[in-house]
Amino acid sequence: MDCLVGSANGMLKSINLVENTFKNMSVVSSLVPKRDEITTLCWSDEEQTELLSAQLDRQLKLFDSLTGNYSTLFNAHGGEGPIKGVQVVEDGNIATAVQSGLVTIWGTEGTSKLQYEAGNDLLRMRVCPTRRNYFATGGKENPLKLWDINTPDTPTFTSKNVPPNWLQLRVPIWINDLRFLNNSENVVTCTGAHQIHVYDPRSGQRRPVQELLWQEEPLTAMSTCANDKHVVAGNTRGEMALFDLRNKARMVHKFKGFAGALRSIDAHPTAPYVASCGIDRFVRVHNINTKELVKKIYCKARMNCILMRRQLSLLTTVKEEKPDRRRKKKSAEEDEGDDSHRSDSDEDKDAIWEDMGVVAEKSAAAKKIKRKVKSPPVDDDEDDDDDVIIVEPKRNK
Amino acid sequence: MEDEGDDMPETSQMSQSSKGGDGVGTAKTALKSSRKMSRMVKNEKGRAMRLQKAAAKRERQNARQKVRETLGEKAPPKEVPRTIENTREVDATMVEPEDEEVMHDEAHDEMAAYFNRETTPKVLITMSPYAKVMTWKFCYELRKCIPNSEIFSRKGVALKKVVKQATKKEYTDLIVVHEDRKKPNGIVLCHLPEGPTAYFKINSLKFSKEIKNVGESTSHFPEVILNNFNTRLGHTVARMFACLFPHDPKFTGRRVVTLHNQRDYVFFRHHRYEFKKDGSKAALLELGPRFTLRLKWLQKGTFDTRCGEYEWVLKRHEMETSRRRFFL
Repeated sequence: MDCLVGSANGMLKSINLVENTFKNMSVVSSLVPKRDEITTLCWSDEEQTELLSAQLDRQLKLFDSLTGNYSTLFNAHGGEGPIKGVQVVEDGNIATAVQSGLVTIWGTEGTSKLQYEAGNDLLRMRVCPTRRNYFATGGKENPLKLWDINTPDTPTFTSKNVPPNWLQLRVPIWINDLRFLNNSENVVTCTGAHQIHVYDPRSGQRRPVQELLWQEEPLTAMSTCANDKHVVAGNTRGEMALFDLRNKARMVHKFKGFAGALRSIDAHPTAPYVASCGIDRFVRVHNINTKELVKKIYCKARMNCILMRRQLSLLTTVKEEKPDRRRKKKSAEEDEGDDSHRSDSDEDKDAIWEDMGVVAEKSAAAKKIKRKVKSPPVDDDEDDDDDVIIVEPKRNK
Repeated sequence: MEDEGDDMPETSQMSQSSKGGDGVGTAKTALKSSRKMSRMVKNEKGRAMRLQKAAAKRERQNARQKVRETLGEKAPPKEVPRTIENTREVDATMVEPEDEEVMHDEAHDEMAAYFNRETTPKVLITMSPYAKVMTWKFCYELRKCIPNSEIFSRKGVALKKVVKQATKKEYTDLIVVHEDRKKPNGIVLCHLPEGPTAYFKINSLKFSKEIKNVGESTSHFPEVILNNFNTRLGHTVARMFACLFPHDPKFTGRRVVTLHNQRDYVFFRHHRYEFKKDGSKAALLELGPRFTLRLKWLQKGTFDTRCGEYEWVLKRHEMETSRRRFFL
């Protein structure tokens, strides 16, 4: 089970990427799409063995991948509209966000503990993966809001809309998907007005720190990937691209092979794979860097959300062929096998230490020499070392 | 010989008109005549080769025929010729006959209401704003062909508004004939309550009057034949077409509308049939328009090209790379 997909007819499918097959987790004939459509999915534990899914009739279900058990937890009542975000917050509590804006924190039995009003037409809610008591919400005409769980009255950060465009027309706010960037509290959002925005709540700025416009169709899904500065986003026309969010945010390259709109994208946190699903009934896995289509699996139903596991069976088969240097230095097992690398780095380190020792011994002498040299004002030329070029303001003269 | 006869007047004219002396003129004509000669020779050689090939082929066919006659039952079976449809690229989305999940999907999709007999088709036909004669002619033909349909002139109303108004008046389908350069060139087919929207490009269109020995159409509900829509996308498109026509055809009217898909082109034909020879053969009398459609995109939901989600878009550079790959 490499990926788990929730489809529009209510079926939870587990996908095996090596064998290119999928397995249904429930019986087809028992499903009623208008009631059972899966709207969101999330991992419910750190080891990614349990999964929470939210259905159109607000039932929350728990899927245990070890036992294959797919059972109902409780009904997330309150507010109107489908559940747009399900996440697990600290202490094992579950947060659900509904389209009418009501965000509720539930205990595991189904008792609602806290409630927040996040504004109408909420389209997405996500919890910060590093700080489990911090979440973000956004939607249509519903600006990005960052909430601390302990303060239910007001959000800690509310974003401001961008200035009117070159025609002096107000740009609509339509946040379709949002993600917390790796190792930071910055939030990146993709909008229906074909923009990608990066917000930094710790800077004083409420407006997006970065904006990138791409194509003309609404962007519907996005994901962060292994590289901190990269983000993958897809739109309704079936185009998915990799974006670089450094100084000048730009598109790196597009991924090909799609026929229809993308509904959900999930990238692996360390390996260069990104899985995507949409309403053209295919699950596709691309290699982020080489943009090649690695896997394409037909799943017979329109799909709403996808989650990719950290332990991919694809990785264990590929690892033997392509060793990754970074991982080898970290993991103890592989160090034994790669002595040459280790000895080189050790030698380098030793050399560095020796150099540093020598420099320390010299520095006292150098200081003495320098003191002697610096006192007469004419000695600016002698201060010019071979390896250090310093442009000094000539104050003496 | 006739060749030289043709050449003679030319050369005399050329030599008279040429100023640079006879040398240049005769060289040109010599080249011309030699080219003519070589062309004649090539034609003859080609003809001879073709006759040889045909003769060889006939010999082989006769030989095979004899073998078949002599062996009778035990003869090796006839070889099947290789065609593009035969060698079509394998498509994972081909629908198996008893696929439970696909059947469940279709039983719950937007067009299920028609197939469950909960709604009867009511079609609204309209066209591009300020359409010209040809488009109106095409709309009249469509109205004659599709029972329970009405034409409304567009008058510059936005398509999203048309969709809203039609849904309010309880139409089940909307056909918009798109016009370019005074000729109809596309059809937007929108299934109404919240159904998918498809855009087809019209490839060749012949009106009834242009068809030889055309017949008069009647108002009996036609039978609908949908051929060769094998993939999942094909199934969706076929169901959209089926939703246009009323459920129960009047068999005594002997009227049939055929939508035949071959290599992603959908051929629309409209006939009256009559069974001859105890029902083994049927004679066809063509009625109504004859046109070809090609699917350009299929969108989930009613017409919204800006913000709607596309279920399938034809991307030529990615999808039209193989001659043996089809999507419907």
